[in-house]
Order: sequence, then structure tokens, then C-alpha cells
Amino acid sequence: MGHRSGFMEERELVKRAKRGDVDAFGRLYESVYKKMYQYALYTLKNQHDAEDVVSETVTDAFAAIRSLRSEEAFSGWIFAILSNKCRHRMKDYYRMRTEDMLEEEEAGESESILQRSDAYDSDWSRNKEAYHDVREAFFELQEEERMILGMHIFLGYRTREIAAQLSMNENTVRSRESRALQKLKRRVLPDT
Amino acid sequence: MSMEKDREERWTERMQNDDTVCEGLNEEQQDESVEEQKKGLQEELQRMVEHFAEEQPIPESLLPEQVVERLKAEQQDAQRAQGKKRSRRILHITEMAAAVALVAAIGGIGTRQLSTRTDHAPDSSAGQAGDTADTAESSVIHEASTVEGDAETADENGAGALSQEVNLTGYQVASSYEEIYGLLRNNQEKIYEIEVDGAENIGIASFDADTYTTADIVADAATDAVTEEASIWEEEDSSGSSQYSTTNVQQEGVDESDVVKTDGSYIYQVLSDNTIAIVDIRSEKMELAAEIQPGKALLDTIEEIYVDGDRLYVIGTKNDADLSSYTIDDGLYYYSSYEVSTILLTYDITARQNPVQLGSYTQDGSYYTSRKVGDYIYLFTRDNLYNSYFDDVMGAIPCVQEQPVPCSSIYISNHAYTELVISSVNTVQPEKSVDEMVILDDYSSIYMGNSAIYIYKGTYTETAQYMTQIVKFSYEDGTFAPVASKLVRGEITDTFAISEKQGMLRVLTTDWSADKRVNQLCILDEQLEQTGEIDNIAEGERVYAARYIGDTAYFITYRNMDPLFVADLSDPYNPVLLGSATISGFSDYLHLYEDNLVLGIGYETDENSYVEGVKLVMFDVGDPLNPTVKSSYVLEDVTDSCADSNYKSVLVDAEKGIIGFITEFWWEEYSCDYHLFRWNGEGFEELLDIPLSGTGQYNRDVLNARGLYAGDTFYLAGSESVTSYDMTHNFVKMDELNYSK
Repeated sequence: MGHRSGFMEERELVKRAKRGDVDAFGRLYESVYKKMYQYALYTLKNQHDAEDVVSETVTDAFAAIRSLRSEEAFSGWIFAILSNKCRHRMKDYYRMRTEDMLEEEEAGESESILQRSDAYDSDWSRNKEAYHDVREAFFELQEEERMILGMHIFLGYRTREIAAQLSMNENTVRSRESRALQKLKRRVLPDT
Repeated sequence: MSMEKDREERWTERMQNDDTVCEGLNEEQQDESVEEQKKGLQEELQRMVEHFAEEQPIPESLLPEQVVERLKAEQQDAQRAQGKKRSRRILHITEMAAAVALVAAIGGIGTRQLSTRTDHAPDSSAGQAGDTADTAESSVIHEASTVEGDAETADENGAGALSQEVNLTGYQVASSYEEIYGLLRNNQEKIYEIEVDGAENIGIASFDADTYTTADIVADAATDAVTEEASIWEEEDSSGSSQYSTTNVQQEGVDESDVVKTDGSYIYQVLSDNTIAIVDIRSEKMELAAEIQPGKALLDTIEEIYVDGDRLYVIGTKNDADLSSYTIDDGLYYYSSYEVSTILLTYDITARQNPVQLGSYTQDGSYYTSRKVGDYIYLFTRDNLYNSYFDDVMGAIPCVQEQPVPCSSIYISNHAYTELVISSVNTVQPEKSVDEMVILDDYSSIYMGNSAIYIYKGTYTETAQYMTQIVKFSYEDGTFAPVASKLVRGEITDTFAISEKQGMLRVLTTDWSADKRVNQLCILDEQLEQTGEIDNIAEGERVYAARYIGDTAYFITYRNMDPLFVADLSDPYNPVLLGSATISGFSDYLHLYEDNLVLGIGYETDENSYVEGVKLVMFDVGDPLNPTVKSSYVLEDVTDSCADSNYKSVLVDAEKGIIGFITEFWWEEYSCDYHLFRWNGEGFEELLDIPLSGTGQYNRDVLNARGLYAGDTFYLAGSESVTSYDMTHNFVKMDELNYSK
């Protein structure tokens, strides 16, 4: 019944990947890697860390592909590994620095990314400032807020799934998310 | 890539529809200008995402080609580092496989005779040429099994065993926990080699790789299966007085757990936040009577429930493994500790507002399925042993209620890659196991008939003939006893293709290994000896759906048309194909609607076998020699029907004249709907089409929706609410109860 949908094709690829077929795994990866990198970058705010984390995720996921249950979507599964790794990476940040230093560094890092982005912005023909603002505003969010919003935006998670992933109450997730959105809104659409 | 595009579009849809994003953003949600602002913000965010994807360079090391190259290099390094050592071990194991099969006598209650029947067991002689070199190894195994044999020794040919012994070709009872540990450890090292090296060739590799794949598909169907249909028979029994619907089960008389149950007065529903809602439906206005939250200490996920009088049985999973525990040993293996268990909780719900927990029962392994017959609940857990690593001997032995399953109840085979644990609980003593057993074999599926449990899997013979191995265990009053095993040609491709009636087993298979696909139906007696068969059915096609009703078999095969076949099995020595009816498309779920009418749910296809929609067909089988299509209906805007993969989600009730099922749409965006139809005697009328997901994103929770009825009210129990409809007044919506989370 391979003609029925892309979902069936994914199942077939997963089965092949489980048998050690790297190319099949590569095709599955191809469908998610951009989102993975975006999520990692937006949550960690650091290109090197984002690259590291995605790379580690890929290695682990391939090694563990047989633990993917047949009814489970590949994307959800690999995103779970990724978001866990990001979370651990964030904990490392905390361990390494005090809260104050962290804030300073965060400001610095976001600056550098934004500068790089500015270069790309110059190629954009449309709404440059608006995008710049949204990104900047995003980086100003708390880590947890970035994670929650990132999971929603980049990984397509539902509130319930985010709550499960972060071991948080769903209502808490919802309120943090709306708080984060309010912050963004205030920043991006100040006149509302 | 188009998948990428799909995701983007789904995302758009989600941002527009999913209120959780903006919930609490502003309290005045009805205010239009606020709505517009929200929308504006969402659009901004989305544009950000899109432009990011286009403009932000992704590090080269993460590009798919680079990643694939790196993984391949790592794979090769690992192979090179370990190749030699492993090959020797494979040989070692292969040798063992041959030895095990030769001796295949196992202890146990039950019947007769021992195997000289190697002709029935092609894979028992699957030892590869050249293995004979290592005879020392085979005699070790041989000794182990003769020690096990009750009192008698088995000779080389397996003859001379006690009359009490049962021959289950390909299995033997473990002689010691050490033997099991050894077997699993060897597997662990052997598996990678097979998967990497042997995926192409048939012999050793194929039983592993290919069998897993095909059995997996069958098992998916079996695992996911759920329904509301036993009512057909109940109606007949209770002369049309069915007051409420029951779960659609595979076998009449064998109940199955599900995510929604009703007893006519209450609806019991598993919610996705791992609570169980008890909804009082005795009056028009529904009320939440109680919510049960077992809590993390008891279980992590609620899977399914049973309701029996004043008892509620909750099956859940406790999963102590954490994602962060994914670790790599040498860049190749993934070791996970074995920490998944299945929990059965019993609640006294005499006071529906105040359920009281009575007992808790634990069985190692991931939940596969369960059955309930009389007072006994049978729990099936199943785990892939591919990635498992055991520190010590006892770590490899599954436990039931914290007691290791005794050696004498552990059946081992030569491909012990999956662990199937089965135990029975008498609900009168919900904390005590009546009996338990473990099968270590390839990935297998189960079918539970009225007298026996049949465990079946696909396997290849050394001549590349695809066979299905069926092993039968009786389960009277919760006690398991081996009965017999059998290899039949071909593969069981539909959950309903295997069926027991009064001890006789009917099996419909598709044989893929012949030049042309061909199907056959065979009848096996209580000892699984074949009494009769119909061969060479529908050459070039395969079985998509089957249903046995009394002594008649109905089944669908398909290539580009959908023939429904009718076969008379009343003479087990001489089954006869009676007639067939043809229609475009194919059904992958069949259900006896009422006497002489068989309902098919499946797909409409064009001449190129391209699916054009989900299709309902009503076959008139009043004249079994000339079955005809009475009417059909095509739903064009959907891509998948869930009836086949999840039979428990189907509701068919001829007395009420209703047919309910779930469809999915898997294209640019995902959507899922519950459809309710009426059969008016001549044709199908659409009654309700209720969207189950507004998010545009796949989410398995929505598939847990169930349609059911009590009295004259139809209920749709969805993941977020229960809605009631008046069946006597055009299915007008009556009430809605939201599970506000």
C-alpha cells in the first residue's frame, strides 16, 4: 500500500534504516534537519553549540533507530532527542556561569548572531526590519521561553507534548508560552 | 523537498488554528481587532521561520549528504574493527539453531508424540552447509535439551520422547537461566552482523530482516486494533435488547481493552494526560463523575481499560528509560537498560464518584495487547531485544509481579530477537498471577480464540519459501499449556485472516515467494494437522481483508479490482470456494452487518491503483454462489481509513442502523474525521462528519476517538470532549462536555 501516502513512505524508510541502511536514514534526516538546526540555534543562541547538538543527535538517533516504535513518527522521535540535548546543554551553561554572567553573555552572543543576520538582511528585499525585530525579540526571551516557543514553532509540538518533554504542567507551559508571545508582541507590534 | 514544504504549510495551518498558541495572550478573545493582531504576530513569526530557512546557512557538516557520508564511514570502521570475531560467532549460533531444531521436544502438559515430522518444519533443517564442522557445540546444546526433557532422552531424530511431550517445532523449554542469558548475549553480538552483511541474501539474513518487516506490518494492525462491534452477536443473543455498544473485538467471546468503554450509564475514557474520566450519561446533561489520576508513582502512560460491573481495570506503562540515557558505546551499539513494564491497576468503582484502587500488578515489557475472557485478564507484552544489554543472568529474565518467570515456562527458539511475555490474572485476586510464559523468538503476533492463544510469525525456509509458523497454547482458566505448532505456506496479511471455531483453525494466507502471488485457505484441526485447503485463489493478488462468520469465510483480494470471495468451510476436509463479487477499489476491513449483508470499508482506486478516496461497500451474500454489490459510497476528500489499522475504532450496529469509523487525510496538511453513516436498507446516508483535529498536524491522540451509543443517544468521545447526539431526531447535537485541561 505504498501508494497511499507519504506517511507510508516514511515507515518504509524507517524500516530500512533499522536494518542499517544509512541512505534511508539520510532521507529521513533530510526532511527534518533544517528545523532541527533552527530550533537548536534559536534555543541555544550559539551556532557552534547548535551544530554540535544536531550532530550528536544524528549519531545517537542512528544508533538508536531500532528503538523507534513502528507507529511513532520519525520527526517527533528525533526532535525529542534533540530537545533533550538542548535542555542538557542549557543546564551546562548554568553550571558554568552565574546567572548574571549568563545574561551578559547571552546579550553578546545574540548580538553576534544578529550582526551576521544583518548581512543576510541586506540581501532581503522585503520587511527587513520586521524580521530583524522578531529575531531580536526572540533572543531576548528567557531560555525556557525560547525552548517552549521553539518547540512549538520549529518542531511543531503541541502544548501537551512540550509539557511532557519538559516535565512541566500543561497550564504552566501554556502560560509561559503566552507570556513569551506577549513579550514578542510588545516588541514587534508595540502599537497594539 | 516537498516534505519540507508540507511541514511549512501544516505549520501555517497550526498557527492559525491552534488556540493553545495564543490562549491567554489576551482575555478578550472575541475581540476582532485582538484576533487580527494575534494573526499579525503569528504571520510575523512564521515569516521569520520561512526566511530563516531560506537565508540562514546551515553548517555544512549538517547537510544530509555529509551526515550520510559520516555515518557510513563510522559504520565501516566498526565493521572492520569487529568483523572477524563476529563471523565466527554467527557460525556458532547457526550451528546451535540446527541443533535446537533437531531436538525440538519440549516438556509440558498436553498431548502426544514427538517429531519425526521434519517435513512440516522446513526451517528446522535450516542449518547451513558447513556447520557440521562444529559438532562439539551442537552436542552441548543437545545435552542441555535432553536434560530438560521430562524423563526420557530424545535421540538424534527426536524420536522416542515421552507421550506426554508436545512437539513445538523450533522451540524448546529453556534448561536454565544461564542458557537464556547466553542465547541473548550471543544474539546481541550476532545481530549487527546479520543486519549489515546479510540484508541482501535470503538464508540467515532474511529470517531476520525480512521477517521482521512483514510481521511488523501484521503486528501493527493487531496492536492498534480496536472496535465496537461484538454487538452483532450480542444482539442476536439478547434478542435485540442491546442498550449500549461494546468494543469491536476480533473474536466473539474474547473481550479487548480499549481507550473508551461504556456500561450504558457511564462513559469511561482514557485521556491523553493520563487520567481516566468517568462521565455520567444517565441524563441528557452529561456530567463528569470522577477523574482517576493514577499518578507517576504507579504508571507513566495509561494505555487501555476494561470495565466489568463495578470494577475498572487500567492497563498502563511504566517507562523508566529516559531519552537522555541514549548513550553510545563504541559508536555502534546502543545499550538501553530494560526498564519498561506494563501495569494492571484494579479500581472498585461501586461509587462512581469515588473510585478506590484495589490492586496493582506488574509485568516486564512494553504493552502489546490484552484480552479478557470471563474473570481472567491476559496481558501480552512484547519487546525487541535488539538494543538490550543485560548485565547479569537474572537481568535477562523477565519478571511478573517481581518474580522471574520460571525456566520451565520460557520457550526459546533459534532466533530469539523478541521477547513475548504473557501472563494471566484472575480479577478476583488482582495482585496475583495465575500463570505466565515467555517466548523468545522473532517478532510474532498473537490471535486469541475461544480455546487457545495462537502465536504466529513469518519465516523463510532454506529454499526461500515464505511460511507462517503458528504455535498453539491452550489457556483454560488462565493456565497455559503448549498444544502444537505448524508451518503453513504464505503470510497472514490481515488480522482477521486467522480464526478459530470449535477448536478448528482457519487460516488464509498470501504466498509471495512463488513466481506469482497466490492465496490459500487451510483448515487445521485441534492438533494443527491440516484437514483441508483451498489452493490457488486469486493468482497475482493478495488478501486485504478477511472475516469468518460461522462456517463461511469472506475475504477480499486485490490487484486492481476488489473481488469479495465467499467460501464454505462447513466440511473441514473439503472447503469450497462458492462465488465472488467484483467492484472497483478494495476493502481492507470486513464486517458482518446483518444476515446476508457484509460491509466492507476500504478504498476506491482508479485503473492505475491510485487511491481516490475511502469507500464503503455493502455486499449482498444472500446467494453465496452469486454475491453482489448492493450499494457503495466514496468519500473523496480523505486518504486513509483507520478501520483496518485500528478495528476497535469501528462501530457497526445493524439494529441502530449505524456505521462509524475514522478517516485521515495525509497530504499537504493532516486532518482526521469521525464519520457516521446510516444504512437505510438500500444505500449509505452520511449522518455526521466530525473533525477530530483542527491543528493540521498528526497527533495520535485524535485517533483515540470512539463513537458509541447508549439507549437512543450517540456519543463521540474525542480527545478533548464528549459530544452527544439524539439518534431519534436526526442526530441533532444535544450536549457537549469539555475536558478542560
